[in-house]
Amino acid sequence: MNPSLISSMSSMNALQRKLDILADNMANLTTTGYKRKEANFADILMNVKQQPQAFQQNGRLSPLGYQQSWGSRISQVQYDLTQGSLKETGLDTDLGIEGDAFFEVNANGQTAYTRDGAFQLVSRAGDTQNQYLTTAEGHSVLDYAGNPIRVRNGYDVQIATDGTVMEYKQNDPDDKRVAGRVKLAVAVKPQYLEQIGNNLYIVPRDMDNAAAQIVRDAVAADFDADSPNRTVDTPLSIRQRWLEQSNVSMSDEMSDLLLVQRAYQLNARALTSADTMMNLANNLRG
Amino acid sequence: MIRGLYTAAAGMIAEQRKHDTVTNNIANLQTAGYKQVNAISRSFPEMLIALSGGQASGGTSRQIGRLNTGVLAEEDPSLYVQGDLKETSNKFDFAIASNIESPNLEFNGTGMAFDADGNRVFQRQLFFTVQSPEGETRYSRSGNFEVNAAGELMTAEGYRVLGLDGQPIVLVDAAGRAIPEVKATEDGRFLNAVTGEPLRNAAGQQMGLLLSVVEDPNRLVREGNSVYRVNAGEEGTVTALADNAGVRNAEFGNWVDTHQAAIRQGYLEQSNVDPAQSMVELNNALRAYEANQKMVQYYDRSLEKAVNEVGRV
Repeated sequence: MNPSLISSMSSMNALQRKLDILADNMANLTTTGYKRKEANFADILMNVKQQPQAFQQNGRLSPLGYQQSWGSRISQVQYDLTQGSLKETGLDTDLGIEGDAFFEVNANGQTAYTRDGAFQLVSRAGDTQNQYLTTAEGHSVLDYAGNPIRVRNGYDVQIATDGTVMEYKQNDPDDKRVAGRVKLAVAVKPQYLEQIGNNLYIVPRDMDNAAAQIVRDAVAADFDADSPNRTVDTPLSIRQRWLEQSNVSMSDEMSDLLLVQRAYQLNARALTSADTMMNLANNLRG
Repeated sequence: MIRGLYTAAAGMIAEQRKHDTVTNNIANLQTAGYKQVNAISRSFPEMLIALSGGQASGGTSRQIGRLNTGVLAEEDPSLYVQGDLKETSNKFDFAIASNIESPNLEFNGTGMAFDADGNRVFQRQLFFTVQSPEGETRYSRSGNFEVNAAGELMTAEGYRVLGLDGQPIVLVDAAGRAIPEVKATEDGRFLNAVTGEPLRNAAGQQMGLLLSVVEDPNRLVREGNSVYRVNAGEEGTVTALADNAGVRNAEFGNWVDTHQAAIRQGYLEQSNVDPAQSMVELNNALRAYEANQKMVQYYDRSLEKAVNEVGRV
């Protein structure tokens, strides 16, 4: 078999996947709280053609053996968790996170994490007293005890930078009390999180979060810029009436796209060239 | 038999190998830390051609001259020049930037120089030291690392990254909590990302990336998965720049201080393949292959004449 064909084919497959990832990023240019993905490549294991001792000639640079490689593959797809820009919306239930953390929500019984803070207050069947803070899909936002955050009917909410939810009546400043505290989970090993769509991430089912420490609850020190006990570089902070925009940058994606496209073209040329060579070999006896 | 037929066939095989090498370079345009490979050809041993039957007719044997009987792609060393550094957003991406000088030597663009005695000397190169799943030491220029479930720093291909104490780096603090981020200094030591204090491992030693300096990078053998190994018996050509209890390796420290070497956090070294040059080499190999193919056909036609036409009445 012609190794040129295999090398260019494997590499075109990998580049195609990178192109898919770029397209995914671009499609989510305006998705609230979206984190872009990046693909990394590695070269493919090669075989070594052994050479006899007589090949050890004067001037030879490398050790005996001729290494043949078989192209490249995608070795890793990573989330780029850099902060997206925050945009003011003016809505009381819009929350933006500053720092490497996620909101924890209850997605149909499953714990999930999201950076998308476009929340809403909705009524739930069977509870006429309260409204629940949920995501746009209706998943409850949880507090540190794992309970949904709820606000009494007729009250407005004020959310502090550490996530404390205060319910108050606009016309009666004295009628206010703490309704709960929005939980932030620090992403310790975000690369292990699994995307399940709707801006949600979960800890993979085959992994134990307690042992692997993929996400952990934020502690008070994480919100304090002056505390040396902070576990995260950027102090955490929740901004009410702001939303985090997607961290996809069109210019970065476009320049990546150009590079990938040219690399793909070059590989396609190598493939054509390899095909021409096989044709030449086939037509030796014209 | 006609010698040239085999020479041309050998030429086709050698050009095919060259083509494969260039294709593989093109295939790794996007591979972090990849070093361009060049196929080097060597001619078959020469033989001396003499006119046969010269002695029988009373004359002396007449030598015609020397003749090579073919060519082969003998070796494919990599070109260890620095690749571009590209900024990424991952805190566990590291890139080595190095241009290590040697006294009285002037390295050219391919990292080669000749010493006073005329010996060929190659520029020393730095590599990350990693450990294969089988526990063997490997070297890599690709610094896209990640932390696994057990807190070990791993390459994307599943090799453990070795630390200054020669053991795999485990990013877990004294309380057993995973360390989410580190700040790396230019000489590869890890600092606490919040306080800037040096990070220490369970044994109280400074944590950091273990770099290895390779005397002659051409002696490294590519293994795929972005790693290299040294052959048995040549381990002496690679020196691990190990810290001893937090003291910086003096030679490496000097390189860092004089800006001959640096570790950049949040950057990846890009492949050093030149696409334009690759394209030219690709066409070159293809056309040389074609020329050799034509030669085979011409010999075939000569043979055809000899077999079918010379004896025809």
